[in-house]
Amino acid sequence: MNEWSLIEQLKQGDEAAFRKIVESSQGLVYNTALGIVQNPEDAEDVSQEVFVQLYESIHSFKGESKLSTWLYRITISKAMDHLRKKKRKKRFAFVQSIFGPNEELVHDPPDFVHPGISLDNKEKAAELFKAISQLPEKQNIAFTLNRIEGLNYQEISLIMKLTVASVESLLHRARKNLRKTLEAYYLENGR
Amino acid sequence: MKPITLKTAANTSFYNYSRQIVAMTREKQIEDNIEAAMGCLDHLSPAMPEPFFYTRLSARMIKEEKNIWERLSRTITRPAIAGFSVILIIVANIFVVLYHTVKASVPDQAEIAMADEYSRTAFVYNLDNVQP
Repeated sequence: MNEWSLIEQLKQGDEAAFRKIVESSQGLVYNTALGIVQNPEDAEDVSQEVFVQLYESIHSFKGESKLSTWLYRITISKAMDHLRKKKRKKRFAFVQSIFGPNEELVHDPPDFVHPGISLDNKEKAAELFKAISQLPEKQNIAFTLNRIEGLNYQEISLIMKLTVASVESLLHRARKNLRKTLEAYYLENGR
Repeated sequence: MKPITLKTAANTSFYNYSRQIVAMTREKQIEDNIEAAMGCLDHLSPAMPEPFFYTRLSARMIKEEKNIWERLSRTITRPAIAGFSVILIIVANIFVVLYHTVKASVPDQAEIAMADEYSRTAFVYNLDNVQP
């Protein structure tokens, strides 16, 4: 069954079509979300939100782009919202801690390592992911789509609604920033 | 001042040379580490969610469907709707303020008539008038 007929069936409220779409694209959504939020529980939460949104707003999908492109856009937007919410929560907890003892402290999670990384690269990968999380939003998205999802410049430009040249520039700046952060880390830690 | 002998000059240049070598080795090591870190993502196998993702998703959707307040709050907090509501409230406030300002500056006929009536009444019942 092709993508378009599945979408048509989903628009008519067919649960089996929804299940097929979820099962075929859960990897794409989860892997992207995990690359951005860098926490398996949060990535699961974001992925669920993405499919809930897909179910609720499938009628607004006009088929001008591929379903995967649309799913990537929803995933990025939800993952970024999640990160912003988390930052707000952290800031609020900090302000609360100034005025008195705060029972609900927001702890920094341990270093994230993508489950697809081989065992001997884990330490280096942890530093790289920390550096990725410090990148500006657009650079982070472009880098994640390119290096974690393995998408080419053309696909990224469609998802981010940018020109290919802009994507190239974003990725160039992302790599430069990552090198700078990693260099500072290795100089400081003397390795 | 100690004279610079050939031996001390050689020692100094050797010392500088070794320092340069150490710095270069360290730079090379850092560069290698950066390259290794950047290369971690080559041949990365994609992550998949835990098994039974669809089951968990449908359980969540059923739960959310039951909770109408949650749905309502989600709708209200959508950026477009929240932004539109704020703009609507601001516009309504501006309208009310402007409307009352204009209305207050132009007294209507009933107010003028009432003011006249009171001024006349005040003349009739003027207590300071001691004249018979």
